Amino acid sequence: MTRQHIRFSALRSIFWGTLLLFLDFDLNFRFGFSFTLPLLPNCIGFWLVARGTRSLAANRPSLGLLGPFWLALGLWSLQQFFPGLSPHIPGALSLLAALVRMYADFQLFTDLAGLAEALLPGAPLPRQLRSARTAAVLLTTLFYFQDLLLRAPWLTVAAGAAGFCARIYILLRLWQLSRAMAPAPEASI
Amino acid sequence: MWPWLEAARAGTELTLDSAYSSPWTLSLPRGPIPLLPAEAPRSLTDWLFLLYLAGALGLALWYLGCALLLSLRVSRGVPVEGPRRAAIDAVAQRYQLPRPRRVVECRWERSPFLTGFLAPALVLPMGWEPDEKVILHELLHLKHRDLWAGWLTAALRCLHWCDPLLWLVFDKVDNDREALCDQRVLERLEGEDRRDYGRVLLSMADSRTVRVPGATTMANGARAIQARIQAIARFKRFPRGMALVSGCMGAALVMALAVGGPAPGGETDPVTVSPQGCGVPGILATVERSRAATVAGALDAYGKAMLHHLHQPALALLCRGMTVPEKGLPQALEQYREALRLSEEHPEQLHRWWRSGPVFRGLVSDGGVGYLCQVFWFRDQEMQAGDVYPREDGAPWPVEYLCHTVHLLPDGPYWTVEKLAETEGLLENGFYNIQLPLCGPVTWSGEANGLRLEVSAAQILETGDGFLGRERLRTPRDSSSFPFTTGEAEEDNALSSAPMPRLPGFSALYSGMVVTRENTCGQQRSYMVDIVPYWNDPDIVDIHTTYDHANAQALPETAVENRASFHQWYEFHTLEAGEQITFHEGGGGGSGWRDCWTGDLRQYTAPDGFTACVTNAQGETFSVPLTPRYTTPDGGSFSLAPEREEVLP
Repeated sequence: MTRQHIRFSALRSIFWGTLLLFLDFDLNFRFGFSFTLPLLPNCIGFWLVARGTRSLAANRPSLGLLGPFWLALGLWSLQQFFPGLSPHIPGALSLLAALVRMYADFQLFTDLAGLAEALLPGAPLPRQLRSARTAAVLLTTLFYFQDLLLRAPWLTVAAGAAGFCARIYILLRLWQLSRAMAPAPEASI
Repeated sequence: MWPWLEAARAGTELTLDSAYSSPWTLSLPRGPIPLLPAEAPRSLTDWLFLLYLAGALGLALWYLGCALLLSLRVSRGVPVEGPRRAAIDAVAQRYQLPRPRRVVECRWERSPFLTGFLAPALVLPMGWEPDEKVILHELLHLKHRDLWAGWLTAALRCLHWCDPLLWLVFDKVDNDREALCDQRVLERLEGEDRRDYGRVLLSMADSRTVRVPGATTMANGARAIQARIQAIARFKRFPRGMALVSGCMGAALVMALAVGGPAPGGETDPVTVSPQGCGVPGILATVERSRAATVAGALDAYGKAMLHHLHQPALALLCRGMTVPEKGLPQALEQYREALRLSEEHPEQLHRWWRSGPVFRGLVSDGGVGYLCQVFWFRDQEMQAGDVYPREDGAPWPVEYLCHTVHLLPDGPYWTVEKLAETEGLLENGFYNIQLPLCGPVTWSGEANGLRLEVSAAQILETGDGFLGRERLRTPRDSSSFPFTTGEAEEDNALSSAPMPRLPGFSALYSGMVVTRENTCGQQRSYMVDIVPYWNDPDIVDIHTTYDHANAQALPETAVENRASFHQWYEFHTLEAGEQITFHEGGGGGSGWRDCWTGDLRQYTAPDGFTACVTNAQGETFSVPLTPRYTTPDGGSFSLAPEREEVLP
């Protein structure tokens, strides 16, 4: 497999992983206890992202450093299968997980932007990725603050809508980046 | 705070007689600066606390001693002058960094370091030739005040001297501080200089690690240096936006620590315990975190404590604990143990317990910061031999009531409930019947010109899901006799019977007034009586007044409509000599109003007084001066001094 193939495969893996993390479709069951079967489990999403960043570590060593974060977040996301556990989880742990996620996402998109800058000189994609990354961080923080301090419903709706748009934008840019890395089709003989 | 930790502490302290702790209070300090205890230790936990204090103090003294010794050695060092000093100043000038005030050299085999708090000095090994990169590293420590950070870490080590996990954390913090300094150095170097810096670090890998508070150390151990060299190999500048995400994460952390997360559960969420899984320590820990924060919450908890007293003593303890001050908790625990003994030794009492209610009546200000209120519970009158239900005359089954007249007082941010009087009686015709003569907590009475009047506010209030245990009474099938807040009677679920100590308001309000008129002169008289409620707060207006003024000038924006009482006007009524009539007036009411959930007690509280204006048959008008007295439902009296004996069956 050529380096181009590896990069393409890794970026696609990151794209699909990010998509799984953004979307949630659940089936809920009751067997005397509550059990939820997520159709797009976040743990699979984190695994796909981790796989992609591991493959890209040769190009960007700092991407490899995110491995432990994806592992921790993947384990944390297993509570998705047991929603009844949520009230019993200390708030401090949830806060820590949220901050780890915020940093990991920030670093991931920063490194992908750097990768794009190195491999696609002159393209607008790096700047777009960085802008989307910054918007996502700000909106996540705004969400957190409004939950703690402001409690303004209109702000929740506005931040939620803006966050949704930012995520869609990120997904589109990731897809674009992976397409840009697609290996050239082999010429048929 | 960790509930399990509080439960463990409460459980431990219940068996001890500690001087520095108690099972009744949270483990958080009472003030911003925790004061040292003045009493002698009495228990094992007291001695452990003193041991902790001794360890913290001892370690602090050790650190201070080490820093002092280092300072003495440095003061005996030889000042560095001439070309070596000039080289150091040149590095500072080139990279625009602060110059150290003193540069000295001492005899020891260590790498250069900074030391000092207010005026740090740069200390070099004797005869050492300045290496620009090492000097740059130390000057960056000086610029970013890493010495102060080191002292902070040392102070935290003293406070947490007995926590090995935190010692590991603090070691990591110190190593990260050095790694951050490396990052700053590398950002100022280019190309081969960065590699040289890595070689310098490598040469320090065998140096001894010495952590002295108040001194930086570039050599922080072989393992840490190895990690730092690997970081150098993958060095790149902080990406654009790193300051933003760092700021966002830091702000989120600070906000969470300063503000805290949303309180678990909302204002109307019940507080529950599992009696099997949670012993007395767990209940006490829950009580400490869930004390009644509102008047409605305090009444709700107090009322439910009686309901559960014999059938669920643990839940009753939880409810009762929420409404007593800290000094009342031992007595609440004693009542719990008594209830356990009673339910085991006299199980026949269980079915005769007061398991319907609570209903609150006559909430009124005590003239100060507190309130008076009557709390009612009910049970069927016991069937005797020959009794038949339903009764042949179709009358509702008599219901017995138990009433506690209580005093609600603020205790800091919480509310406590104290029983002032206890009354029992019989309701032949239900709780809402117009013949009901029960007085409210305050009765206004007076006499003038042969007419004696008594007026008592008697509005009925409910909390949460309202009247619980209605299905246990035969009478509620008659819908005119008891409150019907939730429609059909149904078994109470675990949540509706759990206390809600943070309720913002009441879920049902039925305005009411008990008026007694008596003709005290020796002949038949006719009177027209006009009774008007008043409140000392000028913003409160009774709702009927607002209706009357519908076309009058608009009420001020600060006006609060009170639904508890009303203006009552009686047309001419003839009373025979000595005749007395009593009416329980209901002005209307309902449940489930959105307004009911507000915390403005001015909507619910009875008037602070009444004025009575009378017109006789001759058209003469006179007022009847009314004076208040504290009354129990049966017309007896009580004082605001609490009863000394608990009266429980």
